[in-house]
Amino acid sequence: MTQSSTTNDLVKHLYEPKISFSKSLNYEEQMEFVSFENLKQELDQAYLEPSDRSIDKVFEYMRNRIGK
Amino acid sequence: MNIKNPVNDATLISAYIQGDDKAFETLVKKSKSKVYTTIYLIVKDRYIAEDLLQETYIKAIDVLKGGRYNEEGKFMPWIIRVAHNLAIDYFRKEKRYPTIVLEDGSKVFNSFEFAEESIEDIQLKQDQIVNVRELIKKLPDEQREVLVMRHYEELSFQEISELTNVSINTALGRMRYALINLRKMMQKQELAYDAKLYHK
Repeated sequence: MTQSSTTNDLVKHLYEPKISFSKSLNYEEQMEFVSFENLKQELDQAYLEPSDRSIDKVFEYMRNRIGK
Repeated sequence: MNIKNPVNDATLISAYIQGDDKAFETLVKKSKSKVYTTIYLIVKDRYIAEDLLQETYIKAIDVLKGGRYNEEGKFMPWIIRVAHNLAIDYFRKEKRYPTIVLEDGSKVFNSFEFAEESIEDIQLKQDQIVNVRELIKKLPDEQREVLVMRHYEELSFQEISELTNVSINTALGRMRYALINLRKMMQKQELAYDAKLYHK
């Protein structure tokens, strides 16, 4: 898979930002970056919570193990 | 333990090893969502993810209490790595690591039954947000792997590169395609929703 350094740098900057990089973006790259940032926020909404039952089982194991 | 003051993971780990159950409960509460989401996005099944989540923390308890923990207090990346490895092992044992083929846009939305009442339309719109998880599951394996590792496991691209035996540039490229494909699927989803809405 061949990628130009600019497009890959855009993705790297999204997760591992460097202040100086933002200044070097042209208009299209800025739009692309904003689009990725919005997507990143949507990904944050995709977090799931496990059931209380599963967590209770873990705690039960922990207490029983300590009790041994 | 003073709950009002944030306690770092290293302190919680030490407290647990010395017998403070509440310290481990705090660690679980802090990490359970990330651990569970990571596992779920790999195994794609909530019931299996629940089992593997329990297995992850049980393993953590055994390692901590067995005096084998050596991560210098970095609990979160460690527990995520344990969860990731258990999820991957699950597929190796079962020999059923799924091959993900990106489906055409129409098929992605076939599972949506658009309702007549507006309140259900609202619910569907909310479902679209939740549905991000389903779209992630439809990404090609290599792209989904990098996306889960970077976004949910919070590994650096350098770490992903080393774990997946590819160059950093390849890892970045896969991440970029994952984001682009997700965006395309979301846009198609919105178009499908709008088309249905305006046909009423």
